[in-house]
Amino acid sequence: MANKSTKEPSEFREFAKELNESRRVEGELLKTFLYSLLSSIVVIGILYFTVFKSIYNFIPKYGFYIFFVVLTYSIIIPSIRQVRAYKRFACMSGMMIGMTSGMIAGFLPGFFIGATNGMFWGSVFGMSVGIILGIWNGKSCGIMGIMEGLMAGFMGGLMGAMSSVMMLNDNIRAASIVVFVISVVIMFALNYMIYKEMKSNERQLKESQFITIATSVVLTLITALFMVLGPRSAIFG
Amino acid sequence: MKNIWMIAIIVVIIVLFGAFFIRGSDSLSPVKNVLSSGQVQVVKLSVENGKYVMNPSEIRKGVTVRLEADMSKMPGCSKTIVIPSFNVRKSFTSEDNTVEFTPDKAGTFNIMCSMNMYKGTFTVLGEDGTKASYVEKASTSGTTGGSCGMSAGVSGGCGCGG
Repeated sequence: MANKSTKEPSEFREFAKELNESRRVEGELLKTFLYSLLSSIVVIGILYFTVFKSIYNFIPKYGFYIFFVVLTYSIIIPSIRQVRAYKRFACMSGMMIGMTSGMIAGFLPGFFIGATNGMFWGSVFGMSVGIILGIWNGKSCGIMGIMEGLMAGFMGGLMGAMSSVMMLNDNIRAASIVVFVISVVIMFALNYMIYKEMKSNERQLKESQFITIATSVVLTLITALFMVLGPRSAIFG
Repeated sequence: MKNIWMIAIIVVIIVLFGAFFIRGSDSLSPVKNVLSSGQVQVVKLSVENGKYVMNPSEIRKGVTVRLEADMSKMPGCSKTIVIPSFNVRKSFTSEDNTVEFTPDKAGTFNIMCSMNMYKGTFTVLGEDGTKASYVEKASTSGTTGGSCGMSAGVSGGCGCGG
């Protein structure tokens, strides 16, 4: 027991060190975050100057949520790169990866869309994104991970939208920040878990940042357009 | 060392992006009480049989309305009202049970709780007192007159604060 408690911090220190190296995929996580962030900001910038700028009250109404949507995808996408780099995981790890990815990718978009478009559309959107990303990451261990991603995306999407609608008149913005910070911690913990489980394994796939950029662009584009121009429930006018 | 620069760049980008997109978001606060000046129509709001009841149910266009909620008859999530047509959104408490707004169009409009469970309607008459033919389309989602899975007329909550 004493051994374990002294071992844990050193493993985490190793992980922190790897974040600064370029030997393993962990050394690319920050770069992936930056690529995703920049891609999403470019998409939002183009949308803003072509479509959104003319919308009355756009910034006060949607600015806060769009800002967090961009950050949301930036914290989720590095884990996709990390999972793809190792390709195959043991069932237990793969299930945890599918569940975490599906849950966070469902909850946060569901939460932000729910706050602007209502519970039904927030749920539908959150479930769609959560299920797709949950399956994508969960398939690294086969059907069990796929099932886990599917279920977590389903649950996260519903819960995210429901939570935001219930908090609409009760500090929704503060709640958004709290929820986002917790999600950042969870995604970082997932990155650490993947490192811990796979540190003795070789990297299987070394790829460019094309998937990072493409995924960020597609997700940000769809989410922003859905949030601003998409359907909404009656109470959101 | 290279990561310190990357982190610094990320922080700067987030701060700049955030400063641009979050500015002015305070004006989004859901309730904007209109200061009453001159004539004010006082309307009592309560929930009866799972529906919002406004008394009187007819108000005049262009005249400020002060909606006073009877908190003893406002169970669960009915305390948070939404009137989409006039951009009114308010959570009543026992200390703050009024909201003011000025109807700028005539017709029959919907009032609902923020979860679209409790519903009701009220009529805005024209400035000359005539009734307009416009009727706002009622939302089809939610339970009619119910209260979050409870039978009509039963007071209580819905797992959302009541």
